[in-house]
Amino acid sequence: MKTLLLRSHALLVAVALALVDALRNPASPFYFSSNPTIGMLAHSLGNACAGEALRQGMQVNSYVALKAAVPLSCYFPVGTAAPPKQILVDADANSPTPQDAGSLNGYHGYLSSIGGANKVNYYGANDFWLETGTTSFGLSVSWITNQRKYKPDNPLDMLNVYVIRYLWDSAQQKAYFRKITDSVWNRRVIDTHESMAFVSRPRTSALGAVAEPPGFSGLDLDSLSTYGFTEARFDHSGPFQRNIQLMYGNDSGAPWNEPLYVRLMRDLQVSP
Amino acid sequence: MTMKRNTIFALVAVLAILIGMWFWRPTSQPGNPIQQSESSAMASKMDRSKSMATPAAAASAIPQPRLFKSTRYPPETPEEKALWDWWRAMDKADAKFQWKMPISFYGKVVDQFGESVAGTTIKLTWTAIDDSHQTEILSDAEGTFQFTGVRGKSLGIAVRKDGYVLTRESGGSFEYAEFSNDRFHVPDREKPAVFRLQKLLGAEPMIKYITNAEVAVGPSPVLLNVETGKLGTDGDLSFSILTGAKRQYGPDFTIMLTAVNGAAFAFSEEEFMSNAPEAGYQTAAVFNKLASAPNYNRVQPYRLYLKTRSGKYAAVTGEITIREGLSEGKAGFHAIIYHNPSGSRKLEFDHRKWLNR
Repeated sequence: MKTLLLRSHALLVAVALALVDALRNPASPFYFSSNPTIGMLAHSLGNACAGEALRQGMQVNSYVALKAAVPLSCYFPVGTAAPPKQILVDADANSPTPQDAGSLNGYHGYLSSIGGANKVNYYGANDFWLETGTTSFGLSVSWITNQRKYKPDNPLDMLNVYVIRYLWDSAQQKAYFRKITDSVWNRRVIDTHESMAFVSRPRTSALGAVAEPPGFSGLDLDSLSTYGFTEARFDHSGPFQRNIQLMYGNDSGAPWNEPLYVRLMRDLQVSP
Repeated sequence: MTMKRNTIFALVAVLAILIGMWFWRPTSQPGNPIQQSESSAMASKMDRSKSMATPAAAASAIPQPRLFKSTRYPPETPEEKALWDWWRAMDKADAKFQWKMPISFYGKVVDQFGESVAGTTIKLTWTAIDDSHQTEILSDAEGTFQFTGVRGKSLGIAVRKDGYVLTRESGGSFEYAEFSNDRFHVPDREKPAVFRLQKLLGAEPMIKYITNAEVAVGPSPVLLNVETGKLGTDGDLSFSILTGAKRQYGPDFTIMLTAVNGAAFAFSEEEFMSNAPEAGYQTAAVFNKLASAPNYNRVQPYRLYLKTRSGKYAAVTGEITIREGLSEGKAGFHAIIYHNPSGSRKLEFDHRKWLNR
């Protein structure tokens, strides 16, 4: 699962590039109007794809980030402070990795310039996959644990074998893939997405677990009087996996002030 | 037969080697070898070989300091340093210790008057080593409840009861391992956590509208008719939205709110707008939002009581969102209207008396 998460990051970037003009280019099979209203909803790690597409210049009317598994610090400009996650800061103190986007190929600031869309963050501070949960069979599946323990990545860590691994040389401020001897390295890591996926550790929680960063408005899905999401595993995908009744009201059947689907259509700018 | 036996023997031997490698594995990321000397790595291996204890057993041998919420990093006081030393030692001994912490919780449910609420359903959700789990219990005659005997990392609580409405304090999420988390909770039987429900006191039949629309930014106002929930050229409340200088996260903007045709409004900060005030109404207000302000966003919420042009009362909440990008020049208009057609100032809403549902 760790490898899946890390490698998915890199693969999603390729998908993002295809998204950039798919809906607005007349030559695209997805083209349907010269002046469409485009609302983009991305869930969890899908926000890495959506964010990259916006960064590459994709034009949309609205963007809803639903439980986004993308570091909050991505949305803060380099040089501005993002609310830290102390256990990630502590992990980085023991095994340093690059922080800032740009020449260091880190996370902080990487998506700070995405604009041109009405951006809404649907978040939950107790989300199972992003903050509070894990699963059995010794597989430590948790966004925070991944960032804390597997950056820089060493797939054969548990066997204490170092033939395939990433390293960050904090003295030289350079990332490498596989050390052969003390003075010989297989290659330098210069690709931003390889670095973010396998080397750089964020110092913040995921966007989908915290309130809105600059440029976003927010919706707290955990708020009991709003939508009442919990740390249950299925609530990470709750907006499309919960019982349909819970989209409209709480466990007692009392309706939410605004049904979740109505709220979502509003944020996606879909006409009622 | 011998060949088959040899094959089985080989498989068992491979399995034994793999199991051996599993137990000999390091329990944490080896870190940057540039900083980690070969001798320290070897020392770590030797330590492991001396102790073949399971991760849980190794973790249980680590003395636990008094746990308390501490968000400061780096730690400064001896107590804070002890917390981080404990955290690192536990993490090294058992990478999944966070999901094995003992969970206990003591709570009490009260209404808006501070009265205990007995027989409340308490929904508990917690994350443990294997997954998330849920159960429900009831509050006792004193409105109190307790939950103990499970292990995990995070506990979510939601209380509910028929005849009561959820409030912002009807639940919460509580962390048991990560002391630097804002949600970190130290249970105290003598000081139970308090949850609040809003008791319904006899709501009258009400009309509720949810109005969502896209409107043009500019000096031409848009009018909200509170008695129909429609936006148009006739109504009780007039909204004019103007934008100014654009900055990184959006423009400066101004919203002029005017009560028209004899209507009037009064702003509210109450969570429950149950009773419209008798006096204190006004007919105009201006919201100014500067894009240079800290925590700027393009959303302006509003929350007000309205005396309609026909002399009835309503509670109106909503927000106006300045659009960007492809929707520039427009604004999202949102309103939720609770309207009492009887003329009474009572605006408590009970969904069982929702006239236009």
